[in-house]
Parts: sequence; structure tokens; C-alpha cells
Amino acid sequence: MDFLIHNPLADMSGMRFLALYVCVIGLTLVWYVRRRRGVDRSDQLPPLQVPLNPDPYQIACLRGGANEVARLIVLSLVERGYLVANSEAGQIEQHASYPELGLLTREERQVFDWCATPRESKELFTDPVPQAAIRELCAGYELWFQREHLVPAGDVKTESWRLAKPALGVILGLGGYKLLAALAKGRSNVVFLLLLALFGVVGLLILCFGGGRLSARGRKHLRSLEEAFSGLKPQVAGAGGASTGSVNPALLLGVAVFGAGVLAGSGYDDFRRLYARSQSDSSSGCGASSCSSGSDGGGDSGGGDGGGGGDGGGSGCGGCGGGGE
Amino acid sequence: MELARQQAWLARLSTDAGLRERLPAGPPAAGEEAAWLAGLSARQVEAFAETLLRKRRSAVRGLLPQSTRSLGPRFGELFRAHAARRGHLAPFDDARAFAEFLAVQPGPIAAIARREGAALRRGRVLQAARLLLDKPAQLLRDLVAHTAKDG
Amino acid sequence: MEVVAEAAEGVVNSLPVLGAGLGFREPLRAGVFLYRDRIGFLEITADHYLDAPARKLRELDLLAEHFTLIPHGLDLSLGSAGGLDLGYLKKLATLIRRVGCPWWSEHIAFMRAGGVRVGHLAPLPYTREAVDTICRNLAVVREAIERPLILENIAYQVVLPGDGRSEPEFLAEILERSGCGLLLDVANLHANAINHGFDPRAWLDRIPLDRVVQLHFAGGHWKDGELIDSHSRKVDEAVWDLMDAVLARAPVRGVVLERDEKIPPIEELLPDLERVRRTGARHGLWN
Ligand SMILES: [Fe+2]
Repeated sequence: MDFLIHNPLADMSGMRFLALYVCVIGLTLVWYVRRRRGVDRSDQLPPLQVPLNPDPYQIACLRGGANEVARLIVLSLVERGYLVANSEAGQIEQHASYPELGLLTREERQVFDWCATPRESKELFTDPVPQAAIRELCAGYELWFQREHLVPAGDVKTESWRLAKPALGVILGLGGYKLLAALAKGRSNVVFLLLLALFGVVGLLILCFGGGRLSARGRKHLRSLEEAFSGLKPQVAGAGGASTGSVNPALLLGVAVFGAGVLAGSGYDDFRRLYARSQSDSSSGCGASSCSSGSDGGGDSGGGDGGGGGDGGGSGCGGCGGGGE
Repeated sequence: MELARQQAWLARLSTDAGLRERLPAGPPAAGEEAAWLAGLSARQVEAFAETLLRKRRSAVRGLLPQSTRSLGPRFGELFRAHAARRGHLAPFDDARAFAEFLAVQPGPIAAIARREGAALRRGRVLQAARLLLDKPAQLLRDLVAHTAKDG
Repeated sequence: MEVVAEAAEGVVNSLPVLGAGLGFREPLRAGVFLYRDRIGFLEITADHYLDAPARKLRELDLLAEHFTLIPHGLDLSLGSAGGLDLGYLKKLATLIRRVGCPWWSEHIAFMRAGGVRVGHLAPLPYTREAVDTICRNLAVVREAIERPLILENIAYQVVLPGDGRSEPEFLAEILERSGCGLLLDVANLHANAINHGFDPRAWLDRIPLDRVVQLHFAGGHWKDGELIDSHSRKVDEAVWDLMDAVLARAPVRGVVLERDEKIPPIEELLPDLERVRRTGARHGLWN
């Protein structure tokens, strides 16, 4: 039994052990990232083509989940003159003389009806009425995402958890043993040890569960969309605004692919500001500007698509996606 | 006269305004070359040179938008003066040389051109840096090829 | 030589039918994806992707995932008496391998002479020596690039003193000896016919129409009584007529609309592609 308390590991001085522990945690995480990358084999499938008649709501859902779709529906209704965005009051409301209602999709109609009384912009993300409609729309998209392997399949999640277990074992096992040995020797200065262990475990769990909501194939598809439609950005920035009464086909698609940030300087700047603010109020993820800058630079930093999932736009939007699941 | 000489003459004539001016008065050469040059239409050569100039001009316009805007209708005349001094250059070098030319002209254009020329050079450095990140091997090869050519 | 020509004819006949295509330019990118079903293929300017930044190469790969791409070179200078730039040729070969195209194209012209860059496609004299030079350079090209190469007639403003050959004879001789297909630019033909006063129909009668693999067409503009091939305007009806005449008689595989200046929204170009598609279908080239 003496061996359990007296061996090179147990007798190692505190600082040395901490250094060793940092190395072990680091190596374990690296090992995990590499193994996990092998789990997501979706990028070995042929890349998904840019759709012929792209559905902006679907793209928004892929990029940012339900809240992005909600924003886009409101923008679409504002553009076509059904709703008015009042950035002064921070509200959206029905237009005094809106066009034919028969042209709206079911979800658009539900959001429109809900705006019969003026609504605070952030209510869109919290009120159960629009949320139910949008969730339903997104549920259909999610099914398609799964079929096309754009989001990790269920077994990918199970598999990454299965792989995480031994890594967790190493981190907790080594730390726990040293903790017991130290306590057995009557030492109580174990704060750093506990902190390190916590850091390692949290890091591992983030890598395991927080790796963005898209699969490798999903991220690649999103990048393809950004690449294909980057030429729409100046068109969106030059869009006149709802008062012009004309519908700009580039607008919805551009915002779907790049986020509301591309509206800066356009006739829809009011709308952008309204939702940029409501985003920071609501807990739901990507601010318009952070999202678009992510997609700007994100393309170039393509190297980020490792298992870590820490790449630009993807993880920034992960928050709103969580709501869609 | 062999093809290589013919091509060299056409290349020089189409990029050298001074040489073209001497063409209608009589070929600026002797013997076989003079006979060949006599067979050229001065009007056609002038038209070809004009097309080249137009192409150069539009490339430089794109690279120096601010100078272009502030010059307005004077752009064409000044570019022609610049082009007469310099033979054909690749678009980027052309834009840089034109910016240098403008920088010694009177009026507010000098400052604008100086700024834009400097921005152009900075852009080139950035581009090289990006290439270094993208494809270090290729940049290295290009450098080697370049030094080999210069040496 | 005849063996080469016969083998080449077989290659020309085995090329796929691509229909009505568009010269790809960056401002058209979003548009070509949105209207993919109305564009038979894309012609890309090869030079834009040599020494290109990663951004351009990603664009290339994305285009290649969605379209048949035909690389079109500008700077190979096939007519240079001083030979080819082998470094350039190597880069071109890499690009063509990357794209995996059914064929690619270059011009019957020269861009460099001695140390001087002309900066524009310059015409060759219609001489035996020029034919020899092109064929010698083409042999070097074939060593580096296996894919079939088709050669384009240029718009020329200068006619260099020749040795009695006509342009059609000159072209026919090059095609015959090299075994290459022809990329017939009907807008260039139209501009040349106007500027140099000849009958384009008679010109067509004198070239080997069975070698025409692809067409180019575009709109030019008038300057000082001369038609400049600037790819900047709407396509002239006379050019449409010439295209119709060629499509009626040649086994054309694809037609490309070129637009280099004043690039309009893609919606303005699509009707021209549709018209090409209908014309080709009427002549039984595709449906
Ligand atoms: Fe052409």
C-alpha cells in the first residue's frame, strides 16, 4: 500500500506535477481533436451543389438557426410593405396599407398577424406565437439538413462522446490520484490542481459538444454559398429601402447568406439597427455585425474547420442554432 | 525578312509613338526592312496602337480610380503624354508609372496621385505577403525564376 | 502530317456538345449560380487563375463543381518566332489539369516579340514561315498539355505584308498541319470584314468548317469609322446572321458569349444565350 502514496508521481513536487499535468491535458485534448475529426466523415461525400432556386429561409436556418429565419421573415415582410420597422421606438408593426395577404407563406402570415399590435423587436425571439411558427418551418429544414449530412448525424454525437470518455478518464484520473495522494500526505494547497482539472474537463466538453451545429459538409456548403453569392453584397448594400416599393431579389438571399450586417448603409439600415440591438438583448447568439465579419474572414481561415469547430461564423452562430434543435 | 524581325518591328511601332510619327514620311530603316515597312499601312498601325492605348488606359483607370475621377476629361490627354514616354508596361507597373507622372503635374492632382500611387505599392506588398501565406513554394519559385532572369 | 490531321479529326468528333455558354467574369458570379440551368457551360480566362491568390482558386474549384469549364488563354503567344514562355506553359498545364476540361483554346496571334510585350493580340503575317512557327510552338504545347487545343481567329487592325496567302488559306493550313480544331469568333470575322472590306460569307466558304468546335460572339463598338472588337455592347444582327450561317454548316459543340466591358446584370445576357440555344437546336446541333 505504501507504493500508492510513495512513488515518483505522488512524491513529485507541486509545481512540477502541475507542469506535467498541463502537458498531459494538452496532449489529451490534441489527441481528442484529431480522433474526433475522423468521426465526422461527411466531407468525404461529394460536395452539395449550390441550389438552383435557393430558399433564403433555408439558408438562414443553416447559417444561424431559427432566430436568423425569424429576422429574415421580418425583413421580407418589411421589404414587401407588409410591416414597418420603427427603429426609434424599437418596434415592428403592420403597414397601414399592406398588399395582398394571399401572397404570404403560412409562417410569414403568422408573423404578420402577430404584429397586429406593435411589437418590441426582441419579442420576436421570445414570444411563443411567432416562435412556434418559425420552429415548425425550421424543423422541416433540419430534416433536410440531416438527410444531406449538413448537420452531424446522431451517431456522430454519440461517437464523439464515446471518444471523450477515455480522455476524460485520463484528465480526471491523474488529477484525482494526485489529489488523493496530496490529501493523504496532509497537504491542502490543491486549488491549482482543482482549477487545472476543471479547465481540462470544460475544454474537453466544449470540444465534444460545442463544435458548432454544422458538420464538415455543412460548413463546406455554407462556404460555397458565401463564395457563390459574395457578389450580392454590394447589391444589398445599395438596396433602396422599403419606401421605394420595389422588391430586390438580391436582398433576402444576400442577408440569408451573410447576415443582417450586409445591410449597413443600405435603405434597410433601420432594420439592421433594430435587430442588432435586439440581438444583444436576447441571449440568442450572433450579432449581425459579428456574423457578417465572420463570413468575410471565415472563408480565408478555412483551416479552422478542424474538429474544434472554432471557426469564424459557425461557432458565433451556434447559439441561435441551439434554439432550433 | 524573317518573322522575328517583323514581329519586333510591329511590337516597337505599336508601342512607340515617336517611331510611328516617322513612318508616313518614309521607313525608318533600310534595305529589306524598309521594303517590308513600306508594305505597312501607317493608318492601320496607328489604329492598332490606338487600341493598345485604349486597353492600357482602361486597365490603369481601374487601378487609379481617385486620380481618374479628379482628372475628369483631362485623363485621356495626360495618359497619352505618359504613354508616349513609356513603352508598354504590365497594368500594375503602368499605373504606378502614371501615378509618378501625375505626381509632378501642377495642381491638386499631384497630391492625389502621390497618395494613390503609394497605396498601390502598399497593396502590392500586401498581395505578396498573402501569396507567401497561401503558397510559399510558388513565391519561392517565382523569386528564383526572377533572379535567374535578372542575373 | 496527314496522320496527325486524321487523328485530330477523330478527337474533334468525339468532343462533347456543350451548347450555349458564357464567358465568365467575376461580376457575373452570383448570376451564373442563380441561372445555372440556363447556361450550358462557362469559358474562363485562363490567365486570371495563373499565379492566382487562394480566393481565385476557390472560385475556380467552386465553378468547376457546378459547370463544365473551358479555359481560354490570352498570353501564350503561339505565334512568337522566339518560341514559347515555358514557365507560363507549365502553369497553364497545371490549370488545365485542375479544371479537367474537354478542350481549351488560344489565339492565332503573338503577344511578345523579342523583349517587348505588345499587351494585345497582334496579327501574324500570312506566310509559310508564320505557319511553321505556329506549328513548331504547337508541338511544344502538345508535349505539356494533352487536352485538345482549339485555335481562335483574332480581330486585326493591321495586315502585315504576306507571301500571297489569304487569311482563310493561312488558317486552313495551320489547322491541317497541327490537327487543332477552330474556335471561330464570328464577331472578329464581322469586324475584320467591315474594317478590311471583304465578304464574310465567302471567307466562311474557304475555311474548313468541319473543324469548327466552338464559336465566340460579342458586340463591338464603332470608333473613327472602324469597328472595334471591344466586347462591350449588344450583339449586332450581322453577327447573329453569321452565327446562323456557321451553325447551319459546322459541327459546333459550343457557343460562348463574350462580354469584357460594361458588364451588365446577367439577366440582360440570358436572352442572347437563349437565342443561341434556339438557333443551334434549329440546326440539330443540340436540343
Ligand atoms: Fe474571341
